[in-house]
Amino acid sequence: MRRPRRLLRPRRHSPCARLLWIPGAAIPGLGLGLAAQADPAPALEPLRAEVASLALEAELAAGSDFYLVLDRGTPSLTLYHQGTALRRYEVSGLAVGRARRFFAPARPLDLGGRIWSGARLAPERRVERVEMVSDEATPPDPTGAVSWVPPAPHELNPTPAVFRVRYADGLSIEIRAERASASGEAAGPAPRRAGIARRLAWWLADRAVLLVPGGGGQGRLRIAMPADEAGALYRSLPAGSRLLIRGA
Amino acid sequence: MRPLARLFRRAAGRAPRSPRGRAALAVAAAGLVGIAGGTGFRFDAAGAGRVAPGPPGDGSAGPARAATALTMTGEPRAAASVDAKSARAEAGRLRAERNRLQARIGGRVPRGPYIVVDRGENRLYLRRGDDIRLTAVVSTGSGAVLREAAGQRRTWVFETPTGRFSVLGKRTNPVWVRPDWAFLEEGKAPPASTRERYEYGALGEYALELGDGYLIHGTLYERLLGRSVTHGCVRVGRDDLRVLARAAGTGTPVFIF
Repeated sequence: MRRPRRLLRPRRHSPCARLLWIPGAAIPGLGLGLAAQADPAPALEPLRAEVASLALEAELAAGSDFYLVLDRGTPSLTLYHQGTALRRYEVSGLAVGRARRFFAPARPLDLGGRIWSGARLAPERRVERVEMVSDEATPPDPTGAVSWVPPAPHELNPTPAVFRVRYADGLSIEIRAERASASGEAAGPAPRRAGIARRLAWWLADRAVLLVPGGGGQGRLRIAMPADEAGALYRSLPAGSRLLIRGA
Repeated sequence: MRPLARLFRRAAGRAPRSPRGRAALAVAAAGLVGIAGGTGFRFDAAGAGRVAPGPPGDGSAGPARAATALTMTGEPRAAASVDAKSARAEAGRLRAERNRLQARIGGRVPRGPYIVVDRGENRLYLRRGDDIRLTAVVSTGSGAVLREAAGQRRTWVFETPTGRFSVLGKRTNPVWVRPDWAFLEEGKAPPASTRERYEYGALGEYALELGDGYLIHGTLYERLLGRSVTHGCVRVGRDDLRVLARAAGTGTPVFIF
């Protein structure tokens, strides 16, 4: 009787065919090796940027100054002191200004990687300071009535429609107060319209600073905020506070 | 339109007739256009400003450079593997540095509740991390100046100080021991006896001591809350003060800006 053929038994491979397995198995390994040998430097850059930003933040947290942290990614603006968040201001829009001089790009300013100091408001806040001399003072009304009630903060310093926070070394942040908050509700008292003279002065100053020899190296940011948030920032920003900008 | 046309004709009539004059006028006009339309800042939301990372601020070494070692036969594959190894080591170092910095920053943040006073808005917040437990309308320092006309000729500026403080103590039904300025601003001489300085009920139900005579306390004048009327202390309404007194204790951080 003839022996049945074992149909499921694999054929024996020839020695030549066996040799083909070796490069066939090696190809995926080679691919993995090549992938590993691809330039690893780009993957390190975001990590280096994050560490650099954290180092600056640690430096600010160790100090005694108030500082703002503007996160371009979110965007968000938060006031800190010694690493502790004090007040978060709602930001509805953020734009970065590109400097141009006679239609050509001017030297840009690196916004990140450093701490900006010396915040100054423009226009400046009004300060009402009453001065009393002891021998001219009079006793208070025994009924508790007061003859003069000082204005509330928003009455003394109404929210400007546009104001700037200027830092040393060429950075200026323009805050624009929007009428409505992000939730759509009316955002408190209407912002005071910026004086035409002041806005014209800013317009001329922005051009003048770029036209001087060696000009450029100026940074401008424009932030839109609900009016009540912009007003709170305007009235409460500590003078001389610092700023850190986190990259997107 | 007539006044404009008249103006244009007048200007055209006064325009220089010589070629040199007209060339100068054209250059001046081009310069004005360049300044007005081509100089300044153009804003776009995408953000063209570079946010370049700076060097680490803690004195550590800068970014590691990729190794360029070659084998004896000059094979490039060995050099690439050295690059990958050094990059992995660098990534590990950076991650460790990142964790260390985050821990350093986080170490300064209060673990429990803390109080934030906003002088510009006359608001007080009781916070725990990102959570705001209480928002209160308060009164802070008026900024008024009192000068003593005779005697020691002292000057007081009634401002609420800024910075970080701690609650040093909590008093229930505190008695106000009126300082010298409280008499001088009423045109009276400060009394010699301490007993004559006691005033009951003026500070409300609770007072949180911040040091140097500054307190967070209650008030009889709740209608003036929201205005800067105090002599430096922070006045809080009765209901909000009760919440504050329950949540805060000795050692609670207080931030004033």
